[in-house]
Amino acid sequence: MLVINQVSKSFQGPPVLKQVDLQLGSGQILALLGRSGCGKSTLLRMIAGFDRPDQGQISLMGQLLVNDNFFLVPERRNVGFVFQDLALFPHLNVSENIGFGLRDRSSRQQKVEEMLELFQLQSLAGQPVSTLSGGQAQRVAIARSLAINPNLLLLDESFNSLDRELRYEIRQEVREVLKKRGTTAIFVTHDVEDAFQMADELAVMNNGVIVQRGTPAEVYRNPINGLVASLTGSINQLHDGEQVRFIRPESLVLKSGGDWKITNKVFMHGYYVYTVNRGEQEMHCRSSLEFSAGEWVQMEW
Amino acid sequence: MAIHSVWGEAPSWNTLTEGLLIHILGSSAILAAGAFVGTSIVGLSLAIWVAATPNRGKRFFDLLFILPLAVPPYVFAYSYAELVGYGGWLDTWFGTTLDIKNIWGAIFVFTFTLFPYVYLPCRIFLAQKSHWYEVGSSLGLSRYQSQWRLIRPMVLPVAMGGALLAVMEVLNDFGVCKYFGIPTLTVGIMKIWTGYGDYVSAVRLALILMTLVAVILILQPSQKGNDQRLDRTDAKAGKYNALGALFASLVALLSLLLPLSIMIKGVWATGSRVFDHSFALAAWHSCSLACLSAAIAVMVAFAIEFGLRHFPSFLGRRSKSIVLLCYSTPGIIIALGLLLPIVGLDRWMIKNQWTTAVISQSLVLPVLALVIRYTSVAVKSAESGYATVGKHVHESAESLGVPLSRSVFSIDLPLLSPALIAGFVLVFVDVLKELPITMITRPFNYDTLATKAFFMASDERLRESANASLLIVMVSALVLLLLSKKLINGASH
Amino acid sequence: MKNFGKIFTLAVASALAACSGSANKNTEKGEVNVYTQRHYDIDKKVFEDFTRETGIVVNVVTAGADELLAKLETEAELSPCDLFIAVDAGGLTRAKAKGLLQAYTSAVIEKNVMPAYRDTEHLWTGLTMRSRVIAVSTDLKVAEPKNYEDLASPIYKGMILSRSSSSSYNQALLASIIHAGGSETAQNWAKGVVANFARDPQGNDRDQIKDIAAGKGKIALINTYYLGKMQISDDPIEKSALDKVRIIAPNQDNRGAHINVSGAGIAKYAKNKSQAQALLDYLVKPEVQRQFAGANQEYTVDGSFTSEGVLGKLGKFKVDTMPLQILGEKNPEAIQIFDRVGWK
Repeated sequence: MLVINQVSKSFQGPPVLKQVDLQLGSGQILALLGRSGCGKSTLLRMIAGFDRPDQGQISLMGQLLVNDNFFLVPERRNVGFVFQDLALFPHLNVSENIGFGLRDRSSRQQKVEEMLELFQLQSLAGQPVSTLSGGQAQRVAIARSLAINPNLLLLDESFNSLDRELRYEIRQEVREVLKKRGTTAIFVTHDVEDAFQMADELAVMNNGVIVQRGTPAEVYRNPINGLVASLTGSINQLHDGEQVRFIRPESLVLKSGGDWKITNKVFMHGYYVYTVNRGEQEMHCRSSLEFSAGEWVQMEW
Repeated sequence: MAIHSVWGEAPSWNTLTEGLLIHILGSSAILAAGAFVGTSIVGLSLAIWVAATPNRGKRFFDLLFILPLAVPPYVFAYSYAELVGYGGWLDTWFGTTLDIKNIWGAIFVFTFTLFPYVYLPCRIFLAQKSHWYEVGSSLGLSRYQSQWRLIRPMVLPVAMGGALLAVMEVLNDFGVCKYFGIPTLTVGIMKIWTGYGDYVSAVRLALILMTLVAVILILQPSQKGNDQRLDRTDAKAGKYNALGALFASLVALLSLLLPLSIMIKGVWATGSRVFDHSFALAAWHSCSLACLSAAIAVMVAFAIEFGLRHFPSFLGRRSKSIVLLCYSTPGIIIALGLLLPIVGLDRWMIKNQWTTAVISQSLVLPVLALVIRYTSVAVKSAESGYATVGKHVHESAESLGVPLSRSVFSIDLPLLSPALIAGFVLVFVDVLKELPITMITRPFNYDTLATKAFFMASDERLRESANASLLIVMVSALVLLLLSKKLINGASH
Repeated sequence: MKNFGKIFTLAVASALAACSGSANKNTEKGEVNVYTQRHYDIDKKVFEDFTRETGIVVNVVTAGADELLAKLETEAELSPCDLFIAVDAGGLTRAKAKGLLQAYTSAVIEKNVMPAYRDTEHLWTGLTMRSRVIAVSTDLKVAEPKNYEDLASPIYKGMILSRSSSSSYNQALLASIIHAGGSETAQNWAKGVVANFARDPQGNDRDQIKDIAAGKGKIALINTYYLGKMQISDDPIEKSALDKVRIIAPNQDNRGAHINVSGAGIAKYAKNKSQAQALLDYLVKPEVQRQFAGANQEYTVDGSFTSEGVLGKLGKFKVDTMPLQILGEKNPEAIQIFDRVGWK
């Protein structure tokens, strides 16, 4: 479906993307995860056509989008894009925003109504977008991009402005809609919760390359390096001679009596996070068992 | 032509450099500095005061303090000369006269006619950042302290940008300085050209003027990164500060009420004699000329800003510098400089027997010259309009399958329309006041209100000229009134 | 968008209307195109009378003399201008020097215009005459000045009010002084006057009189034309100001008071030459001359010194008979002297 082949890009300075390869199947939702400046947004903008790669080739559904001699302008790509700031058209109301990309007048109204219903925005149809709440604006932006039936939907840090609870709700809603419609989507985020909740697969980027790709569970359990591990959740690094092992806090089991000392204890919802020390080594451990601070324990994994 | 002239023989250049030039430059510098400080203080103080007043009054004050734009400085100068001179109200009521026809008087005139150049951008800026009072109070600053320590330094660069524009108008002024007998560069240019008949020295002086203005333009901070959306929680509990109210009333009195009452007095005495159908015709000429020039200027400005946004490398910033430089060129030089190639074009067309009609005698000439002179005003407006529109909006449209050729109408134009309308109004009002270009390039039997006012005034019939002046002020005021809301909200959608 | 469209429509409509408005009215008798510096209501009336009498339509552009000259020069053979009118001999002489005029004379002109008020090569002819006289305060404590030259005398220190040297009236006066006494005398005179200034030069002619009335100074120079206008003004301030001054016609014991004319010449590339000639002849006819004198407080150019208005009260006085084209020729030198002595 989407094939990215050896794409490189630099903006006056070190390369932002280094020969990136990426493939995505139809109907899949992929999360591009990485720290800011790792090149994930640039990759997204290349797919949309806002920037042109220095080298490499991108094609979508068998159609060439860009290579060294060819460039398909963004408006011909049929790729939806939702910006972090949403970029709603401030002079248009909700319906007009959603219908903006629909050329066929006869079916426009029907399509807009379908979208309004899909995102439960019917009551806001005629409202100016400046009066919308964060979650409503989010829905309008996504509805606007979905209205054109894009071959691919791209979301660039789109949920950043929402608070935690709303974010969970919207992610769920968007995922359901995308799955229902079979829309292929890529979204860029630095928030692992976004990625876990919405994505079928994760691709972790660092320094302009994709360092690991897999289902959320695979990547979480077997991070190939410390960066991937820390990007996908809390992690303990255990130095075992030359070797470094990555252990998730919940994989540790605590038992009374041993050479690790509990130095801190924090109650989280339904469990405790203990900080345990042995000499220089510090580990975090998640357990529902009760220990008290200062107690000596042993650990297994 | 100009370049050639600079190296030509300049018979009066020696007399000029003997001392007159230093004198001219000196008085220009004092005048420019005075107008800069004056407009900054008045415009900035008013903007800060109005921003802090209750919301309901804002509309009124905005209008009140934009209106002085409608009063041509030379009309203002004539009115005050009468007001404080022999037999004026000051004389009748207090038995004293005031000498206003000097450089300090000119600074006064320019301060109170040009302060809206500072007021307007400052108000727009403050309308966008009204929550700073809350920030200030959260840091333990009183309202007054917030104003002084937080708001004022923030708005200062904006105010200075506006004041520089005002200085540009001052350097280009002709009427006031000529009447007050102040030798400035523009007066000097005219004197050398027309008096000495020395075109070369005149062009040299003009180049000095243009260089000065170019430096000013470079100094001016460009409005960038102004992409915060309008703060919807406008200052809730505004108060009328007594001292501020006093100051605002004083400004309103000096900039509007007094000159207007002098004009009305003149109209009262002479109106029945002066008003005739030629007056109506002149009013129609003024309005249609201003409307047409402003519309074209706005279109050119939009094309330039549109180009800069979407094809920055293609168009480059150079086109904009050229437009801005045109703004700094004295109107008379633009008019005559344009006449030469147009006559050449006419000659060529007649030679090829394409036409017998002559462009140089049609309205094309004044409109073109006015557009060249004032497009920069519209460009400034369009620029600040685009500053509030993020790039993502255009990319969104593209990703929705709408090419630029269509989104220019559905995105760029509507989003910019408040800024473009603001630009239209400013150019319209400028053209209505404009003198030298209109005077020289107009076709036969084509009077405008400005030419009527000027000729009556230069014939020392000030009371008669008040009729045309008042009409200029009224038309401008009407246009400003209709679109005042757009003017303030223009730059911030 | 909607607003923008509205404005755009308005602009296009006004453009169309504006263009149609300026379309030339073609008449059987033809038309004559005038570039004039005279912007008086009486001129408009005179032109209308001319059209009524002859059927020739008069088209007018008004602007400063030098702007009009620059325009004429640039337009060259394409210029639509048939008749050029300026308000002082300086402008007319410059037009001649630039080769923008063509010779024309006629019996009517020769009969009605004194030779001194005409160009020797018939390139221009005077239409109306004005003089520059001295106004002194009625409470002047020292001896009244009798000549322009007296104004440089130290007894008038701090008394003289003047408008700026950029005024063409002052320039012409100095040119006449250069002609009468030579450059050095003229420069010394100007220096002396500047030393006597009560304040920096400013304002226009009427302002000087008002300033005398307000006590800012004692002596000023004023054009007879403005003097007359002040007298017939219905503005009480102007009248009361005039009551506080006495008018002196200078240099009566020698060359006479300085005078200047407004005048006209046929443009070199005139396309409606015969119509322009007809208009020029018409303008010097005695009845039209009387109209200028009456309504506009100017003097006729036939030497009879007829002035129909209140200027009559000033009486007949001796005027300088120097050929006026010299005023134009000496004009640049006059400006240089002004600049050199610091007459602002």
